[in-house]
Amino acid sequence: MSESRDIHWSEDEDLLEQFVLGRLESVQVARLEKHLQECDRCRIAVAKERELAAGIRLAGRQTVKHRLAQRLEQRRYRSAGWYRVAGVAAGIVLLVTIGIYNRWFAANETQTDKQDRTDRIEKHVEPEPPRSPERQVTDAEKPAGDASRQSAAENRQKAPSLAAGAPRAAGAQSGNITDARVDRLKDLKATNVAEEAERREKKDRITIVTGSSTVSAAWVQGIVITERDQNEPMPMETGAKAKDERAVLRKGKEENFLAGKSVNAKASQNTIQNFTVTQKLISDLPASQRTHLQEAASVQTLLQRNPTGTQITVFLDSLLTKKEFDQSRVKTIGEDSIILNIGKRMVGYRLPPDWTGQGVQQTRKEK
Amino acid sequence: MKLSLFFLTPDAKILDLIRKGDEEALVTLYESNRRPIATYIARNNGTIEDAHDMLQESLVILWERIRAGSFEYKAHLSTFIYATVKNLWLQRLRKKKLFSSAEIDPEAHEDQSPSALEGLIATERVEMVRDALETIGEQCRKLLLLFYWEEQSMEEIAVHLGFANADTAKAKKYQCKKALEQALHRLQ
Repeated sequence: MSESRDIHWSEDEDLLEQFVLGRLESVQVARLEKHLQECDRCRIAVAKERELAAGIRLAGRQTVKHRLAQRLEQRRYRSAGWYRVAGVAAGIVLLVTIGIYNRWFAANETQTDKQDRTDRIEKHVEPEPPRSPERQVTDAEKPAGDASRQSAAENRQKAPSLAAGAPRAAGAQSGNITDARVDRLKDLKATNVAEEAERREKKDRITIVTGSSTVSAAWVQGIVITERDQNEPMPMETGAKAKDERAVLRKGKEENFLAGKSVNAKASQNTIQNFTVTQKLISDLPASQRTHLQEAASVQTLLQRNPTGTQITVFLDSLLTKKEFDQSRVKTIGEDSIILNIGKRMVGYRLPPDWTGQGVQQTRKEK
Repeated sequence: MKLSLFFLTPDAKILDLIRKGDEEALVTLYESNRRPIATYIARNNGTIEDAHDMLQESLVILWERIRAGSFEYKAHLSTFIYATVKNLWLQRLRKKKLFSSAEIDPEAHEDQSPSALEGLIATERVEMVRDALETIGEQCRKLLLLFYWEEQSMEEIAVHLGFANADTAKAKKYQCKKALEQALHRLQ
């Protein structure tokens, strides 16, 4: 027994570890435990080894537990990420839906706006209804406005030289307005027709409605009535050559003299009042207006009317000298026509019908 | 010849993954046992955090036993986890003195310390070893964990850590133990 006390098996590192880890056979374990009861040194060694093993196991458990917690956290974060992605996706879908919804109603609104604009233009132009077989209206049934327009049309036919310069708002004048509205409301095709009419009208005429005042513009072709020689005096100067210009002004009640871009303050009795003349080269013409240059005896001109007067922009082959241009003059003929003396030319213009409502009526009465 | 995991039962797949050291298996077990454990802990004066902690500890015990080769598959893994959680929770409640000792399963834990004071001292010393283990090198830490916690043989450790052979691993283990004892001595 004393022999076994002297043999400290705990000094065998491997045996001690195997004992603590429980890897020994039960018989061997029993023998070693019997020795431990008698050997303090071995008992202390075993206790130390057990503490060591327990501490390392604790560290191992905590490591695994910590990693498990990390994995669970990552999984939770990923789930939250998916929820976030789903939330963002839902938000995008919502925004797109709202966008489509708004666009849908905006498109409807735009369509309504277009129609309103077309209606405004049509009202402004006051187109002549066609005399189609289906809608023949007697003169007695026509409103006064229609009668006056009819009269104006007849006047233009009687004066072809001036009527050639009338504005071409025929696109907007096709079809009865009420019927066109009904048709447009009925189907999209009719709407396209209205848009086409609007486009055609815009080619000849630009109408900008700003607040209460209206600024109108119209392309007209002036008819060259006469073209004098270099030394020939200006036609309007023939009867007034001996007198000064002020005398001419007094004599001709509706005659306006212009110099360059200055505005003549003298006003006529009708709606045609202050004129301003500007000259430009044909090359400055918009492409859409160059097609009207086929006739050599015509002058493409842009008339712009605003509350302060009328701007006449004449497009010429070559610009006049300042001296020539300063001698330009405008004379009103009736209330729907004007004659412009510019350079060597005398050019006649028929004003747009709605610019000269009173004049047209007056002409009709005189007739 | 390796059998496809497709032909294994869910528990067999988990056991196989844990034996391979795949910790994702623990996550799977956690998710599948979370609700019943939470219900149990909640019914016994616990919180959701307690349930979380108990479940993690039970999973670590399962991991430890399987890795050490001491796990015997007698019932479903969920049954083992539930029983482990129950024992761990009752043990904790006893410490809190919320439950009487009569309700505690006597086989649930092994109280080898002769007195509470000695038990506390032993616990402190064990924690000290754990702390000392963190101060030695990473290779030594891994080696000692493989040997004492996962109870791998020196041959396995040599392969795992890239030592030339078991003897080299054994020599390294000796050095690491000495380093740990020195670290422990410094902490004391």
